[in-house]
Amino acid sequence: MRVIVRPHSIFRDRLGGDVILEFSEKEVVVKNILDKLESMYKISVIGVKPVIIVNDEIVTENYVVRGDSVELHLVPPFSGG
Amino acid sequence: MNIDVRLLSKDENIDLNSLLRAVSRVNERCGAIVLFIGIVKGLVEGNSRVRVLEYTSISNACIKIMEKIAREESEKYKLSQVTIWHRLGALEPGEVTVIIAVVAEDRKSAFRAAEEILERVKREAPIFKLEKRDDGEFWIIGDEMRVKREVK
Repeated sequence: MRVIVRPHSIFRDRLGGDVILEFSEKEVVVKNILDKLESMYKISVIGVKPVIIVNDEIVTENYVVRGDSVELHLVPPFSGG
Repeated sequence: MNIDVRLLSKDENIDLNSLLRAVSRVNERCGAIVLFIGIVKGLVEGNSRVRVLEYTSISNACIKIMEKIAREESEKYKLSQVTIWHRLGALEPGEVTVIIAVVAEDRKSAFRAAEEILERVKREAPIFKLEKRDDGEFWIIGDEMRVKREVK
C-alpha cells in the first residue's frame, strides 16, 4: 500500500514536503509509519510529539490504516486562535 | 440551534454589524450575545515585534472539528446560535484572527460557552501559526511553545 504523508508546520520544514511511503502489506499500523519517518528524517530531534490525522480524524499510534492509498497528516499540537 | 462555522481568507471582509444583526434575531427568548474577537499581537515575548502571523490549517478536518465543537457546546449551554469564523493566511498586527459569537438565554451561559468554544478551537482544531518577527521566524506549537525556524 501507499501512504502519502502530508506534513504541516514545523514537520513540513523537517520533511521538506509531502513524502510517499510504500509498504508491501495492505494495512499498516500508524506507529510503523512513524518509525519509518523517524529512520528517514529523525523527526524526534524537533522535540515535538506529532499528532496524526487520517480521514479528518485524529488517530492514535495504534490506529491501522488500510487501502491501496492513504493520506496521513503529520502535525504538531494545534495553535489556532 | 444555528451553527455558522467558516474558515476565511485574509481578504474576506468581516462585517461585525451584519453579524450582530443576524445573531440578535435568532430567538426572542435569548437575552445575551457574547462576541469574542481575537487579533494579532504586535509585541510578544517582551519586545519582539511581530510583522506577520501566518495561519494554515487542514481545512476539511478543521471545519468538521469546529462544527462538532459548536454542536456540543450548543447542547451543553442551550445556545440558539454559535458562530465560529477563523481566518487563514498572513495577518498583520491588529488584524482579526478569530470571531466567536454565541447567543444564549442568559449572560452566564453566554460567557462560559464563548470561553469554552475558544479554548476548544485553540486546542482541537488543526490550525497552525508561523510568527514572522524582527528577530526571526517562529513556529508556534500548542498554546505557548515557540520554536525558531532554521534559516535555509
